[in-house]
Amino acid sequence: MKTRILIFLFSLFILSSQAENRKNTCNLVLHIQDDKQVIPLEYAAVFLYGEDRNYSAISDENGMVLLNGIIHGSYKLMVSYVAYKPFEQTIKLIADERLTIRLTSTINSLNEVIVTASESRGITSSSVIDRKAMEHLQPSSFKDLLELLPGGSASDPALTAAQTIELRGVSISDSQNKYNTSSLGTSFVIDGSPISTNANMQTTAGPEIIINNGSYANQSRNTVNRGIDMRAISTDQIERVEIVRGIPSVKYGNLTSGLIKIERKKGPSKLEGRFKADVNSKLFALSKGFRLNENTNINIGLDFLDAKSSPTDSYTNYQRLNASFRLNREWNKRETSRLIWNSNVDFGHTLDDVKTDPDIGYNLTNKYNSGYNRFAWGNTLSWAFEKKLFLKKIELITSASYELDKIKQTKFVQLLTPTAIPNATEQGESDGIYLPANWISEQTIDGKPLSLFAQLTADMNVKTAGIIHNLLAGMKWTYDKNFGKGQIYDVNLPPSPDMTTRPRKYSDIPAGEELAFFVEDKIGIPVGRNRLQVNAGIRGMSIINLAKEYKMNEKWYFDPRLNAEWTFPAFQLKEKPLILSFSGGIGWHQKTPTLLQLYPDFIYNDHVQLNYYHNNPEFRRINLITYKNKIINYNLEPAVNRKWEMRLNLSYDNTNFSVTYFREKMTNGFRKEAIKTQSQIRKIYDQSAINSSELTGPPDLTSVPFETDTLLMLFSAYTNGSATLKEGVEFTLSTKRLDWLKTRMTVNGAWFRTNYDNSIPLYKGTSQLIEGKAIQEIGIYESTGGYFREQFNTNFMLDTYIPNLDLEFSTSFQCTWFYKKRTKPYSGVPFAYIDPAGNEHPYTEAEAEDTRLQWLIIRVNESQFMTEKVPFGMYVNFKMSKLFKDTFRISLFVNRILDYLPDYKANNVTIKRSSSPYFGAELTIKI
Amino acid sequence: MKIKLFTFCLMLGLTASFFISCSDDDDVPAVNKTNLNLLITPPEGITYTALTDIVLSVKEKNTGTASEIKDAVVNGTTLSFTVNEGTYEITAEGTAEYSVDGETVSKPIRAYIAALVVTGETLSENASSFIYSPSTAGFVFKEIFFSGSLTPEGLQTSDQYFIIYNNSDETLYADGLFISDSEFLTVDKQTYTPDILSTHFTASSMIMVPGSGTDHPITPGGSFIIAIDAVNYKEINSNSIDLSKADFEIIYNNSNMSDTDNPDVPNMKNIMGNMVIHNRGFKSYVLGRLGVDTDTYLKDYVYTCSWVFVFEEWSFDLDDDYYKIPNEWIEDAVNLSVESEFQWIVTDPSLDMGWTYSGTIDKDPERYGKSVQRKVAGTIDGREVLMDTNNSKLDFNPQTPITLK
Repeated sequence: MKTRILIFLFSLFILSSQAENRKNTCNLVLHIQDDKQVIPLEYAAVFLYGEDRNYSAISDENGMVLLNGIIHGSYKLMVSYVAYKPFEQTIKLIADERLTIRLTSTINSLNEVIVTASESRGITSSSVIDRKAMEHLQPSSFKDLLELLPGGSASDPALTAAQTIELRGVSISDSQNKYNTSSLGTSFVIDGSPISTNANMQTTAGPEIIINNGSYANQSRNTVNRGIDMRAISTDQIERVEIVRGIPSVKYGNLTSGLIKIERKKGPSKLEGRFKADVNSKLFALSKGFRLNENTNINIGLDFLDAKSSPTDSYTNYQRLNASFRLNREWNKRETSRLIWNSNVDFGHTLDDVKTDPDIGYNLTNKYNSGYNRFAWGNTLSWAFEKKLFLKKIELITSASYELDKIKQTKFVQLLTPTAIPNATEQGESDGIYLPANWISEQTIDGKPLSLFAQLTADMNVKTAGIIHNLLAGMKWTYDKNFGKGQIYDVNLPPSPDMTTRPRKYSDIPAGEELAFFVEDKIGIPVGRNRLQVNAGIRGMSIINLAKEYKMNEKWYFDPRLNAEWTFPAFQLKEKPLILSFSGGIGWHQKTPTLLQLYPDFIYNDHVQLNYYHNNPEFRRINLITYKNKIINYNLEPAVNRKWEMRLNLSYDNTNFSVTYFREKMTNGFRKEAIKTQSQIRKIYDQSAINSSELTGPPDLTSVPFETDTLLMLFSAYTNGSATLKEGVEFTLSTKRLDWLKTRMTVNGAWFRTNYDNSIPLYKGTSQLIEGKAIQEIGIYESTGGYFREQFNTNFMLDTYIPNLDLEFSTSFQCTWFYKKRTKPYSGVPFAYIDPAGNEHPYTEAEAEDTRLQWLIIRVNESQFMTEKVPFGMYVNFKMSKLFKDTFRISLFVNRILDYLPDYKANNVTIKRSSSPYFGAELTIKI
Repeated sequence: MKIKLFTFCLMLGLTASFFISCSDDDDVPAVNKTNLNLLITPPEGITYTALTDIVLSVKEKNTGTASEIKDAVVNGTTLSFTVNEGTYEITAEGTAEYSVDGETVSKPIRAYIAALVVTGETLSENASSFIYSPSTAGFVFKEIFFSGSLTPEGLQTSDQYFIIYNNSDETLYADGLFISDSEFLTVDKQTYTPDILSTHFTASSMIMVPGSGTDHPITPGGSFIIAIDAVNYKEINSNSIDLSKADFEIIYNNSNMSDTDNPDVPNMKNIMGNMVIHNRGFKSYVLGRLGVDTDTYLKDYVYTCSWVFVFEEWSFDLDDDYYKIPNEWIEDAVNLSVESEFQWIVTDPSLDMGWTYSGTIDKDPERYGKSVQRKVAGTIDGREVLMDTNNSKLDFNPQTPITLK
């Protein structure tokens, strides 16, 4: 398979080089930029109309267009771009030419500031948030930026619990982590390098502890198999974020749901200090960009955040420290080529710390402390050619990150009743040991994930029949490995008497190594006066070091993705152009399992055969049989999300409107689910055969009669059993700033409908005990209820900017028109059951009458499946920012300064809603 | 102590009267009659409103003549009748009416005086009575210790137990006696459809005393202890007790680590469910005997109900399956709750119309080491009779330091 891809890539090179063998031709290099912000414009359409030949092309992400092999002659050059004034010029081409074309935005009139996310003008739906919007928003972490997405709304920074991302959906509370693939499959790419969480295994073993009557300490903070914890990403180093909600380029892979492209500040800048304080947190940040010489810049940044769960709780804390050093250097070689080297060294530290509040807890011993320390070094080497015939750019991105992660959990364990634990780490019969009355359990989770990333891409220009193809080809290699000591605790004084695992070294888990290839073509074709842009690509990926037993071994998985846009000719309305375009796309997106999903831990089943608790401690004996099982689902495959979307863009007189309808279907998301049963045999010793009064030591079992007992055990493994179906409409309308009011309105919102369901049958036992023994039979159910969620919301934001006063303020009316939730109907009757011997039988009416099997029926009531609807509610948020002497900026925000939450009736109960405001302020100094 | 003193005085009085009557015999052969007014006093917390069907038996202690008085006049709660002077043992049985929380209740009562010196023209005496009926007496819960003990570090241990008492006047066999806890919590009232509260008790679990029928005789006034685990809890909690000498223990043969099995203490049979004694006291307990065999019970006595689940502002209907126990199988029932959380009693009022407690607020730290204990109603033939008015509020001493040490 690998060779096939290589041949394909190679033939592309040959094909493209053939096109260059012409005489009397020249090359035209264009740089397309925004005239105000001087930033490159990607996806600008370039047409060259000649006497007998026409050419068309699209600008790449550097705003560059290379039209090569153009026959000498006179041409009309037209450049068009949504929401920009079209550019037109006649040029005569007899030699190689290099032009910079600056387009004037129809939105960005003089002194304009955009303090909201803007819908990207690219070919797929994405939101762009720039520095200015972030300054206005006053975020504490990346999570706060999501307010600006269609469908988003303001939420208070909750910094003492992990924050994972959910794009384009209505989330559910998912304490069992069954629907995490969306957040796991959202890729965060910072300066070209994705952050890998594949080797993150920071989670405690054994039952969770609750400290200070809060939530489970570990469950609310660990992000194993859940992707990125957005709390850890500070916004102070960020220049621009693009959140690709639609179908990203095949350059970006190992994702299912979305792509977050973060570009950090580059180039010289003033020394900037920011100090923010809100109800629960304080933030301090410093940054500065130095120009060392004409070609070399250095940027440094440092930020620190200290948060509590509430102002009065000093026992639940979160801290974050980020330090960043970035260098970029350029070498220009007589305008023929340009080499850019970006190098960055980053350190990120986060710490969750929970201690027992002496006013609440009896026992001051319990505490939980989880720290991450991430060291990362990334390099981008980009070599752009302007005179080469078909090769435009070669880029090599490498990055390495190494983390020192540690969870320390201290727990005071008190036995309720005398208890024993097994003393075996291998399968077989053994005697257990009785535990002391109480002890202090220390548990350390030591993780040292290393992740390596290398990506080589080539941008090429190929011309066929007058159409310039922007070709992109590349390959990627990643490596993830955890060198940590893993879960460490004293097995004789475990975190709980009921452990089903034993300490595990993470360094024993094999590394994950993946290879991917991708190739993509972007073209722009004029169809009369209309314009068609097509972007098509395919990506292939494979895990290359998997054992033979895995279905994924040596298997390649392909993500084809296609986006197209049709732009109608500009239509003059009252002497202003109205531009209309339609776009649509379809794409497959796959995410490979994480290392913990591929290599789960052993599961231990310890069954008591005798628990002889003589009144004389000398004569006590507990005998057990231990089963040690490695439950791996070798059939695990990458989760696939198929997206398609249709979009309409309308642009007229500084007003832009965009509406997108999308559907996403992922039927094989990851979830831990019971999939395997095993009959285990244990002896039950007849202790009445032991004469307790004649003992001189623990009873000898050799002559004690026993009966055998069969237990049907149910095992969970990571499966592809979760279905997440997302559907929705996203829209954004931004108006022109009204001169007399100095105010601009942005309306964005979304209707989302999300269905969560299982896609494989579910195995479930019953908790009922009959005659002292759990019912061993296990029912198999089609479903035990999926979730339907639906929500429609709209944010109306009015932002006013008064240049004379350097004052900006905004009022956002965040309306939720409705929120609906419903449980998917299910019968509760299993279609089959497994008997203790492990055989499957159909479940019929006869079973429903059986003394034991009747308990496998889960009773359901129709009213459980009724739709619950929360009607209209609105919050008003206010933000303000004022600049003094171009140096000091003071900002403040109040969330929910006003609300309108009318009472409503549900099930004949009147429900009252209330809210309380949340506020903060910050000072920024630029020197 | 009070009782002992009382008995002593009584003895002294008796001896004195014996001498007095002896000396009188010689001089006065004529028999003097005395009008005796006997005020039947109710147990603490109850006021009788009427007495009916009174059967009055007297026995002159010197002559040994016993007779039944049929012409006693019942006036309110006073019995008036005439007897010859003498020393009498008096027993009055009948039905008393009284009101509890606005409702009128009729219960059999028994008043008893061991020896009363009757002399003079008129004598007014109090006869303390208790609610007691020999026909319904059997096993009752004497003590339920559900809250467990607190360790020196402030954590709990589950050193819980039941004491079951033979409240009758004959030897009873504990074999086959079951104990069940309620599925429903007294702090969480829901509406279950169909509502079977008046005919059945909805049980979460059921344990049963083992035996063939005559293995575990319990004499009148005798009792037995069922411990959650028959172990010496002092080994894990210095504030706890030694339960290793319990008569029975509850164990689960469910391959579970935590269940120790004391070889010297027989295990309760598990019929269904998992008896976990609610340590905040939100569940009620019943004891009785199955009217059918175990297999039939497990197959046929399933209660499928729907109920409205209310959580915060949401409510919706749910269906569930539980086991049910017909009320006529139940010999004794005790509702437990907590004052700050109480919502309803989960038995039919005919089984228990009140509730008792250890702990007045949810998770009350005061409840540790304390149990609910049935009051002593009176003594018959030296045997303590425990109070059983089918109202735990009256019958139990709440939140009392446990009796086992």
